[in-house]
Amino acid sequence: MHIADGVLSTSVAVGTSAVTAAALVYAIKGMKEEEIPKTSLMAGVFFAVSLISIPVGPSTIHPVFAGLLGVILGRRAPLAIFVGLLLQAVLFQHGGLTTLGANTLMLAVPALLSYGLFYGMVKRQVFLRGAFVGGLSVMIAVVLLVALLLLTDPRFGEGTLSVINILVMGHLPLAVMEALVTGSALKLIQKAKPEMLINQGTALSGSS
Amino acid sequence: MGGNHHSAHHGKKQHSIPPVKPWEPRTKLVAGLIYVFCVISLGDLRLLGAAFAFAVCFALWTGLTPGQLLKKLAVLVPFLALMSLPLLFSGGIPPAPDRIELAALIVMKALTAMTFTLFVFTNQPVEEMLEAMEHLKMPAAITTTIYLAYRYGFLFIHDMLTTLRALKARLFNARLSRYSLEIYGELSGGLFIKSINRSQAVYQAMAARSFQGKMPISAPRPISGADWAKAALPTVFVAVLIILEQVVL
Repeated sequence: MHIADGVLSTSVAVGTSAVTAAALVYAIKGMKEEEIPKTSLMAGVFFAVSLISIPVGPSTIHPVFAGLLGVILGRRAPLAIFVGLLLQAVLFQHGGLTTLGANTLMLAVPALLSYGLFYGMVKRQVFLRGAFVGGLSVMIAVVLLVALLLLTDPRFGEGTLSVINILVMGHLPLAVMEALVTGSALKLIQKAKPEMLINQGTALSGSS
Repeated sequence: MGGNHHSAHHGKKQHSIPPVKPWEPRTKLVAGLIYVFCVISLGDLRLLGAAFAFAVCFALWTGLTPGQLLKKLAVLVPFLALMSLPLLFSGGIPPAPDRIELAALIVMKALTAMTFTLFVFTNQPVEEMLEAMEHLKMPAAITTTIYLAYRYGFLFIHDMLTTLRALKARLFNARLSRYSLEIYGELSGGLFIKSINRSQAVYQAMAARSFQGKMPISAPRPISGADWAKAALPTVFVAVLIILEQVVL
């Protein structure tokens, strides 16, 4: 899911960096000081769980947790995603500085949508809602990734074994995995620390 | 940043990177960002080769050995292979010259940008880099979040690896099955719960030390003539490459 430096054209890299800067301004607007440790430590977990690798055939994949971060952090999620991806780029060479904006955007958009969707379906079980937003967030991220690649160069989409076809096929198991992992994680959170979800839901109903 | 982390958390296993003359971090950061964004705008392989050689010289100057640099750049190989190989062969075999050029451009840009990024952040204390960001008017909420995430991220990695080891000791077999994924979900959910609990303790400790939304930072170090010269070197070099591409080639 990480786009490396050099893959995107300059205009796409600069454009997505600008949009991400705007998303960060939105994310930190009205942020109270007690929210900073919470968002930071969530970013730390987001950074840490990227090291989980689940074997799929000859390769491994890892959960992205855009949906889960969106559900827990709401409008602060873009900040946690940006920070987690920055640390991954600088410390583990996953992604890059010029693509940090694009990589953040690909996960921040589904995170914000997951927030609205999860708390908008209150009658469903938490596991089902979590699985839905988890799987959906991967699919939205892939759609954004495809759009950015096509904006960069149409050759990414040409041929049966094109980059885009391979990326879409490769992310199908990730969507299934993300759905189950997010659903299970949110089910556990609801059992062990329900206020993490209740507070966010209250914030949403209060803001709407 | 990386060097500090390694020395702090894995001191016995990692080779220490020798210190070099300190470069004022604001000018270093801005010069680094200009360099990597300009490099990705280049479209000529010869010029990218020159930019890569320049970036390698700077990275080695920080104290990284060629072996360490190679090891760090090797992480990019799977990402680049995923992009380049389908690009080369999806149009048929043998690959068309324009596809070979595009794939080579992607690889060269990625290697050059990452090499220069390593130069900017390796052997640079994270506190100094974050202070530089704040002096460059980045909001304190962002720099404080980066600082705390950096500090606590490695604790979570430790927790996670301990739990994974415990699971393995109980014959847990990681695979793409509903049972495995539910275990991973509970592991991740547990980490998120732990992070919330820990964040409350962190906030209370910080509030007791007069935390008011931002970490205390020192006054910016004056930028010397040598700092300006160091920042000008990569900036002018990449500007010359762009002019060469636009005007001469």
